Amino acid sequence: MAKKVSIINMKGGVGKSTLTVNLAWYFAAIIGWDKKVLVVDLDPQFNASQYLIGVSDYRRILEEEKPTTWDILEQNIRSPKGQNIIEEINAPIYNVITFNDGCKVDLIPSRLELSFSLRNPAMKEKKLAKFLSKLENEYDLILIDCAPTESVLTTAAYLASDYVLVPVKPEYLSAIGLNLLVTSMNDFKNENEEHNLILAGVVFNMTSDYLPEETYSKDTVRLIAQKNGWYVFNAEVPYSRSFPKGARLGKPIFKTSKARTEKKFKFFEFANEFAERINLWKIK
Amino acid sequence: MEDKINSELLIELAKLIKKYYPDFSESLADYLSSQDLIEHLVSILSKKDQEVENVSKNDTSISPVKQSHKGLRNTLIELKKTEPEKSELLVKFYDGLKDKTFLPDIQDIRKFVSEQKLKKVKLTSRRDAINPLIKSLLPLSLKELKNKLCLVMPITLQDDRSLEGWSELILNKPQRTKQDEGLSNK
Repeated sequence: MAKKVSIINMKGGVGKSTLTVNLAWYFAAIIGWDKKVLVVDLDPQFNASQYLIGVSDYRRILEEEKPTTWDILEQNIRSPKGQNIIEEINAPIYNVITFNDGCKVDLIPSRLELSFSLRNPAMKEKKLAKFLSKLENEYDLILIDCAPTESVLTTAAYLASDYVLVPVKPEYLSAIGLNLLVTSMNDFKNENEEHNLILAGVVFNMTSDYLPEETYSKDTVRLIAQKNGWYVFNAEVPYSRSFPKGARLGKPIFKTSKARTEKKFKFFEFANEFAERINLWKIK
Repeated sequence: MEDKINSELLIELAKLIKKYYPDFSESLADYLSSQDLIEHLVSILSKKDQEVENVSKNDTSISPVKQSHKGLRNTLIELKKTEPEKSELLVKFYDGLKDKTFLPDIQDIRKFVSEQKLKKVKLTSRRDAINPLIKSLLPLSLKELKNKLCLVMPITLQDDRSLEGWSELILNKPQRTKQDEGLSNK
């Protein structure tokens, strides 16, 4: 059964989508991990979808009216056009890549219209969890790339997840944004006591060498984390120009030409620690 | 260009004439200028070409890599008529192999062939390995090709990840009608 992880932060631009995609590729492509990974793009900005598939394939998805995360949340809603029903469970799934050994990265893409779901959020929060429960035996890992604002999409992600991963860019505004997430998660847990949602941890993402500001932000984040009993990953993911380059090329950092070895290994370190935190193990 | 060829031919003929002069008869000049002779010579040369081609096809000891590289590239370009995406991908990969952007060493090619479980060919040199490698990829579907190539080269087409492409997709989407809105506004 798949480990289900939401990658979330109320602050935008901290690298959620990039981290999600690189983690997906890592666990599918690296020998020894050999996982089947599903990426669920739950952000109306659909950055994860843009990263994983190109314009022409995405256009085909829209033209052929293939279901997206929007359709999952709009299932069984009555309207003058009838009910929106996804009849085939694999219909929203787009295969990004499959390796010779069967390991793969699949995607449930998002679209801009997902934001329209927010206008009428009633009874939508459980739909994603229900949908993914039918798929989770086909995957080892499901990564949900979340939108940066609190909404029904956030609740939907929480309900669909076992774990939450919080990337934080160590800078002033991001540190403030973490408090919003603390509030969000606490509210959710109070309302949904029966749902066991575990915080996998807070990871410092896009770190650089600008020490004074970063050190101050990291200390602030560690303080907030400590107060709430949150784990902060020892490994950090440094900023690398190869990350945006990889996004443009549709490749993870470890397949991007001229990516510095040191940066790749730092990412690997984090991925391995993350796997340990969510009890995801290598194939023996 | 034609003048150059004619000049070279005349020089070669002059050398031959000088070599055999004065042993050949003067009627040779008339014979050389006859249309029959020209046609006869052309047919002899054509037969020779055919023999060479037949030997190449039948002689299994000749490595398949002897085919002209230019010919294969043209084949890949011709594929554009029926499978344009596949053609673009293969031409890009082919050009990248030629200039060593992709798989710069013979060991890289060997590893790629092995890992991707492609048809094994005799790899005597990197240059000679290019054509067989491309040919082993030709029968694959577009999706299979992308899957195999994605780890050694950017698999996306030239304009498939451009900001212009995404902008066009997002900005030029048809306006939603009120009826469409009804699906989420109920």
